Amino acid sequence: MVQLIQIDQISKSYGNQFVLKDLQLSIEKGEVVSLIGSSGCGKSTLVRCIAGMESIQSGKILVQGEEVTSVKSIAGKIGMVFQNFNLFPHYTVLENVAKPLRIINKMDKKRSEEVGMALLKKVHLEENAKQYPNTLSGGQKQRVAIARALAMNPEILIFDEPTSSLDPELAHEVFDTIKELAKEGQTMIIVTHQIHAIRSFATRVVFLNNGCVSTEGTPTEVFEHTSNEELIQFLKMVNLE
Amino acid sequence: MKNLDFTVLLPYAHLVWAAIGITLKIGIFSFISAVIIAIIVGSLRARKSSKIGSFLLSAYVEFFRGTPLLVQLFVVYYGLPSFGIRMDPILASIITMGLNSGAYLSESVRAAILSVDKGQYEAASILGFTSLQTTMHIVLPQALRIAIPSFMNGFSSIIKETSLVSVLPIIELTKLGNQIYAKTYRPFEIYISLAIIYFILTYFVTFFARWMERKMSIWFS
Repeated sequence: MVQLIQIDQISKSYGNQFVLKDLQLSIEKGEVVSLIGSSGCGKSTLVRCIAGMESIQSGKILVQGEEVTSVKSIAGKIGMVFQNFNLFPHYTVLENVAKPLRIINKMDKKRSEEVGMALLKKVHLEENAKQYPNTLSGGQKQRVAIARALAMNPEILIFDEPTSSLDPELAHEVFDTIKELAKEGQTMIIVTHQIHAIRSFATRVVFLNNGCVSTEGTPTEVFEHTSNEELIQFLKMVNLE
Repeated sequence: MKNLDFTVLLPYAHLVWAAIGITLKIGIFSFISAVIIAIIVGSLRARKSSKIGSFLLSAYVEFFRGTPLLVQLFVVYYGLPSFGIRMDPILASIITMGLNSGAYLSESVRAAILSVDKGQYEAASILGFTSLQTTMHIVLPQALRIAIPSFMNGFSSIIKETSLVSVLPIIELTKLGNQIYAKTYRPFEIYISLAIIYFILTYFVTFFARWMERKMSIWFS
């Protein structure tokens, strides 16, 4: 297996408060890794560090062998889908996907729109191509965000709580799209609380507690055969929600 | 009270059109210069820049906001020739009013840029946009939409402030009014007519601003 991400003993703190502490993790090509853990355990901070959006105080993160020092340092290798979608409101759905290809990859307009339409088809939104994001439902917005991230053809796709601002029904649409990507072999890291949704397609579940990896394994190992007390408590809490 | 007689203005009607043309020429070109200056200065002031750069930009904004436009017109038209810089009065008016209004509008642009959601920058940077591309393609289009009402207020103000350039050798609307007054001694008819003309001009600007806002509101719910 090809190793895509190597996280080596990283620590991150805000003032005296450690968010990540000597965290170690590696992710291989084609894996779908789900990061779970209670709020404040460092899941989002970890993925933001992997994407170069947050600096770390010690340790190092390698993406395809290159050290992450800033967002620029991993440009094109990582795509990210945010909790709040962060679509560009002044562009139509198609432009959200196609414009980055024109501006960054210098693709011509016709070709960028063809690629954009193909990606919108993939997330079942080709009929919404000419709409502006403010006219879409939350689930549709998130699927546009997925198509936009895929447009740059990233090796790794990161989802930072992609469904936490969505109703269960709309969250289902988004997870269906993620599941399709998993089938295609897309390497993904998914931060989520919705453990029921990811258990059918995550290849590995990583439980973070107090800024470090507390338990990891296949969904069956983590959700059904764990003896980790914190994880058991967390799973009880999530199941009650 | 004297009887009002607006017919005394009729012999000067043909001059009014020329004066409106000059007023609009100064107003429109000043506004265009102001918008360009505001976008450049506002964008630079919204981002971290060197101490000297930030001092110079701040000095420009504070100077033009802290001194009267009339004095600025005198400095540019009557003061600069002492340094060998002579210019046509219309050009001097456009430059001065552009700089003056640009200083005010740059603050609106800066505030509008700062109000663009941080997530927009994050989304752009992770996609691979450079800082300049993010500003040009993502931040400015959204910020300018937010700043449109300020821009249009600025345009209305510029049209009204063109009356100040009547102190320079330019026959724009107010200067023409003064000249007609000197010949007819009918101040009320003249100045109320001027006020109506200025009102119509600024009303069209307001109308245009509302149309622009409606057109661009499509982006936001």
